[in-house]
Amino acid sequence: MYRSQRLGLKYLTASTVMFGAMIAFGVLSSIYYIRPGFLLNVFNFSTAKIIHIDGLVIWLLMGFLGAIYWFLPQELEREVEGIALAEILFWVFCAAVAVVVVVFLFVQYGSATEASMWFINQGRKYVEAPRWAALGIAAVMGVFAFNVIGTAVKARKSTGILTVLILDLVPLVVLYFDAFPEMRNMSQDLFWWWWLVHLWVEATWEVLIGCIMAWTLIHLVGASRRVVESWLYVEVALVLGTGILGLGHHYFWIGTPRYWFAIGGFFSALEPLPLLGMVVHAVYDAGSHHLRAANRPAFYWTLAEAFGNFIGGGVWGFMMTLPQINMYSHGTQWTASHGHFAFWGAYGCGVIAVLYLALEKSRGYEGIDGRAWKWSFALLNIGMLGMVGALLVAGMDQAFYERAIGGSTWNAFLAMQGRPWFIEGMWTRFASGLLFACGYGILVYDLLAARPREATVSDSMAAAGS
Amino acid sequence: MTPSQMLATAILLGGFVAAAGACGLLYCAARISGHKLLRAGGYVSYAALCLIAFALVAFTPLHVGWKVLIAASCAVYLMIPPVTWRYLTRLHREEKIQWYPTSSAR
Amino acid sequence: MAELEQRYTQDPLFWRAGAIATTIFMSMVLAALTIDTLRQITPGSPRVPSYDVVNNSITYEFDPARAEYAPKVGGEELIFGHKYSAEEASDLVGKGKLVIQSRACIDCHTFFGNGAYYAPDLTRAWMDPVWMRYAGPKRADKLAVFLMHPLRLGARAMPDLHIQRDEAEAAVAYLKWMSSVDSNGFPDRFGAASGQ
Repeated sequence: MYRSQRLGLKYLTASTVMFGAMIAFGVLSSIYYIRPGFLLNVFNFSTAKIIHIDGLVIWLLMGFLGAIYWFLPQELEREVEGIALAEILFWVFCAAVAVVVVVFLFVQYGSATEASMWFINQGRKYVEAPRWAALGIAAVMGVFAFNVIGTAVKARKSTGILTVLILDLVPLVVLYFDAFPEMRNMSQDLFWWWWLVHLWVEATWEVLIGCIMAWTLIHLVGASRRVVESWLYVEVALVLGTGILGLGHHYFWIGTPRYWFAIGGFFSALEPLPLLGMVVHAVYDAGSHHLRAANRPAFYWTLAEAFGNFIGGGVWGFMMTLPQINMYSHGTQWTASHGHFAFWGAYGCGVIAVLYLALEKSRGYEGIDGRAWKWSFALLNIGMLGMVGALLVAGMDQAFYERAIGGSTWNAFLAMQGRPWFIEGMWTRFASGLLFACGYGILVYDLLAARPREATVSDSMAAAGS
Repeated sequence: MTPSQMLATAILLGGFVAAAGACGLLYCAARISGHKLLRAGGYVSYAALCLIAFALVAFTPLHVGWKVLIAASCAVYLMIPPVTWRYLTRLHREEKIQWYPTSSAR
Repeated sequence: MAELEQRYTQDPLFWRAGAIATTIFMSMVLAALTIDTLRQITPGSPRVPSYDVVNNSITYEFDPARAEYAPKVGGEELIFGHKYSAEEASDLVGKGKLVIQSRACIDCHTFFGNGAYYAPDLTRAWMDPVWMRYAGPKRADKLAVFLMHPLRLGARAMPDLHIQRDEAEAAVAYLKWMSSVDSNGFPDRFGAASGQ
């Protein structure tokens, strides 16, 4: 195993741990909705939520880094350039995350000074981590980009997938600069903030996971490189072709000009198209392998990625993206429903697929199967569907009563929180979150205890050419 | 737009993309297995997609530009599965792909 | 024709060229729109008033010409017994933003609908019917006192975030300025249900 692959395994392990932390704080956050006054002034909702959503970003980023450190040396058939520095920075990254979490837990917030921004809490969604930590993350990503690009330069070659990844890394890292400034004008703040968030999760991250899935397909089912690369180019064209100006669907209500209604709405409405293409491709691949692959969990999580991305991002997104609907769905639990589903489908499932693939290869197994992964797969997905469904019902009720009828005042908000469907939605979300957490527990058990797949009769028949 | 119209329109919009996805899934599954039920399912989703598009255009208070977009999207969604399928089969044929599971990397 | 189509579409480089061209084109359009948008949201523009609007009355009314609700800036209505110069107002609003960030208000509340959904949207909080019963100067005081010592109203209690008097005044000024921004009618019908 290359050193880079060992580092990849470390990142994937850290990613799995952060996934657990995210779930823990997610379940905690959901309790505040069902127990009024829970931990008031001891540990407020905002702090629990911050660790939940920042944990989301960190576990996925670590998953991406782990995947790429795993695949890169195999792609170029050489050790990764600057790997020693990357190994040190892994520990620095983990330590920084730990310190940030400890400060969130025990200090929580500071007074209105620059010192608070630098050392405690920046208070901007997803990027609340204090500036010193943001610098640390920027350094980790900078070194990561150097590792990737430097290896290609030293090897004097690149592949199609790697070139797409390298070109994608540049905007991905540059966009992170929005994690630093504190802008007086809220319209301007949100304008640039959406460059970071949307152009990460609906553009550069989509390309990134596309590259990772391309490598996964090659190593999982022996997909042809040419096929996978051609498809990657098609997907990149469609995802960026729709996603770059689809950014405008966040510019309806923040004070920006009205032309964003047409531009944002139009391109956003096109965003499901590449996702439908991914579904077709996934069904094609699944069918052509007769729903069999040696590493069954990785295979099924890859399928889940394609479908989850389409339904969570495409279907749920399209429901709420047109301005006439969005006026009422904006900033409600409906948004949270879409957010949870899309992140899970587009990125969570993909990282789990890589976890299983790396697990198989690193232990020298020929395939993976068993019962535990199926339980984990079922509980995680059913738990997610439960959460998303509950939030959708609560959110639609909210859009109807609080926004459309109530006019979004303080009293309309409070009245809404007491409505029966809303309360039931919050309880259902909490219960589903517990299911999801159980699924995670079994996932961890399976990753630790997974056994190689035993060859079956149907396998030998397939090999014999039936 | 009344609150009820808003919710109904949103549900139709979600159903529209869901039907497109079902079309894609069932079309491809039918092409792989040749199963009659899957083919029938494909046609049903196809019909559902057109019906939902019609409902969105005829009965919702969306602005006319969005209605034109939905009608055009309906046509495009219908084309995506067969076009993508054709592209994928040609691409794989060029590579003379073996359809057997393998765990070794290429 | 079919042969030509096949030759091109089977060539990965065709799609690669397409991906590059599409990305560059869309990025250029985004860059151009960004330049225009930033200009239009600079304080002092028609969409975003300058910070010294905190010296004026701000209401939210239905505009028949636009068929939507829009903020309306009126005559003088001071807060905290002080008429702020442009620079003072800018500093005050700047401090208000620091308060909002240091206390991570956006992780319970929403601003222009962005944030967390645990607490009410604050876009028009300055004009909320709960506060509208007070005229401007008194309203500002009441709001500031609330921020410093939040009352438990309804089932959703706001925590005590140790906000000092000067921070509270800055945050109130921020909310007042923010309520004057033209957000294309969001939130719709704010205050209409209670007959404002």
